[in-house]
Amino acid sequence: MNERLEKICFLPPPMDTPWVGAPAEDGSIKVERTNGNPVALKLPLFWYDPPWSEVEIDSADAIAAAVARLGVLVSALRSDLASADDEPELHGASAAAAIGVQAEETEDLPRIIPYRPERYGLSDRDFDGAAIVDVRLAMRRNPTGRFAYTPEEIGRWEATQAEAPLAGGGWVPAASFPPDVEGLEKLKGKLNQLRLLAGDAAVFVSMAPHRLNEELPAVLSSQPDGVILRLNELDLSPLELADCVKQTRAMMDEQQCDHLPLWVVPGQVSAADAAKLIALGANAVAIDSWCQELVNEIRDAQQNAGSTSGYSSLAAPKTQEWVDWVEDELVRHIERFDGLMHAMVYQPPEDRLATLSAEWASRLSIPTLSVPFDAGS
Amino acid sequence: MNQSPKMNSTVGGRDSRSLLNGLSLDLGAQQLHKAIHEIPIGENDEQLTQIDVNGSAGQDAVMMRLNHPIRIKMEGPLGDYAFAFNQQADIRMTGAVGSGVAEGMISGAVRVRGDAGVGAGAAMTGGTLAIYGNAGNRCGAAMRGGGIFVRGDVGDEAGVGALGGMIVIGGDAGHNLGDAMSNATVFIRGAAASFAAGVTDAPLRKREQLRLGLLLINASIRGDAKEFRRIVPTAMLEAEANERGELNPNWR
Repeated sequence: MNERLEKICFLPPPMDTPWVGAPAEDGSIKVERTNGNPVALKLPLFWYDPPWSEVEIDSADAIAAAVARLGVLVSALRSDLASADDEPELHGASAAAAIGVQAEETEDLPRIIPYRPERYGLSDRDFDGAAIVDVRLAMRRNPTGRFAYTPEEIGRWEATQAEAPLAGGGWVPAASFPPDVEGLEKLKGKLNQLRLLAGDAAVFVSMAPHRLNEELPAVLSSQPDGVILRLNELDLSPLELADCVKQTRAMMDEQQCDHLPLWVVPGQVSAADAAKLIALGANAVAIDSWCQELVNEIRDAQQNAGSTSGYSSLAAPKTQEWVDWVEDELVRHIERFDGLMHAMVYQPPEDRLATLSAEWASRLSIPTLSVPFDAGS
Repeated sequence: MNQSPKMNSTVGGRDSRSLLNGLSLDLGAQQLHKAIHEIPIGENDEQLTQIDVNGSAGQDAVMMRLNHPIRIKMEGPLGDYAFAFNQQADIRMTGAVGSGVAEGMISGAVRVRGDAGVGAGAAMTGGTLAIYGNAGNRCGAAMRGGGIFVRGDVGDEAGVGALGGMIVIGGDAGHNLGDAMSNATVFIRGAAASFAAGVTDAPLRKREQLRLGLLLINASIRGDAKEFRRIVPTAMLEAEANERGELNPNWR
């Protein structure tokens, strides 16, 4: 996977640093909540917008649970992953029974509720056991570019008879803002309501970056427990991506919200990019690009079930073999990320990154490497 | 509106149907929720056990996620998001409510003898919400089932994004009635300031007259179903006319 932030490097400790043992900190984070206990998360990584409707419903649940078992927060509604009568594995059902392996104790898997303005597919039981409620205040584009949901998404969320699909089987327009909130100035009340509905969850607001200067202060004044910035909505250059994270963190600090987590959805990133974004001021990073590779592989295998090429075992809706494959594929990225994060702890936050480029150093306020050749050569 | 962690409430019987008499509670929202769910269900399915809940005036997010077959009477005004995601409960309240009353209601009923704010019944999937006053903008937005009855007027964008269910408007509607609506139906007695693009009015079919008549009776509303007009997506109407059900043509 290409590195977007290859112009930035991790700065190791200086040569004369005394030998000390590896830092004891693991990669876990805690999200403070306005009311109640903090939410503990194993990793600062999340899967923001999984395309659940692209794979069979059983497969979607198995992928979600496999990713979550690695400590990655996964965004999903119950209706994304199971029919109304079934319990998704991500939401607490035992995995073993469904795939015929020895039963293990039910795990508490980390989960985000995507609370879209329309709430299509949302049920009251989604609130139970969630770690994060993600109040999505950015309109959603479908693959055609419309602000709309696809027939497949609507069909997954709102099961109807095959001969009478909703909207005649066409796309359904997406909303811009929760219809039961009078305006941004009243958003705080909605967030407080969600804190009561999802008693153990932190309530975040996710937003697009297009009008950040105007909209971020309004979002912050509604006192969310965190902000998710959807930077993948813009076609950012690597430097713009890094700068946007840095500047957003600075804006939040200026608004006396330095305690508030900033989670970013950067689009395509490598493990090293994710670690660098955290060093630049993000508190967690979306890894949709890593997970999308898994979805693509499984979707293709299922669509070409008759073919003998590729991972033929992925054609089945759910087997232990391909659950293991999902975990193996993803763990490579996570191990690399975890290792880089671990190594960064040796250095104080302001000395973790550097660059050869004078332009990058200037924009990001990070040191230029002291080497005997010109930047960029 | 404030959200007090302590809700000074009393639960007590008022008539012969009640199983509770003189029980007084001084509880927070969670304890009140728990206490309501511990009230025994009456043996007679026709007559729900009834309790009065007092002391919640002005509060936000009261009585959410109830899932108990019980009748609750209470006085308003209430703040925002009252009775969200309720099931089975039959709520009868007097006074105004704020935004998002009965958001996501699954079953049961909420009757409000007063006005409601914006987004009344938003994202409902079942049950009945009756507002015996006026409702604000975006009433019934994104609802997926159930029925909403508003005796008076509704604001702009009523039924926006609704995928299913029924909205009955006894008075007038504001602009953009039925915007982005799919399989939902709106019945209106008065006038609409404007219909959304792709939405039209049509006469009631026999089954809708029956359905609407039943709702009017259930909501204790005087009037004849024939006084109402049906507001539906034009594509849905064309599909009906072509006797091709509600599948073809693709609406968008």
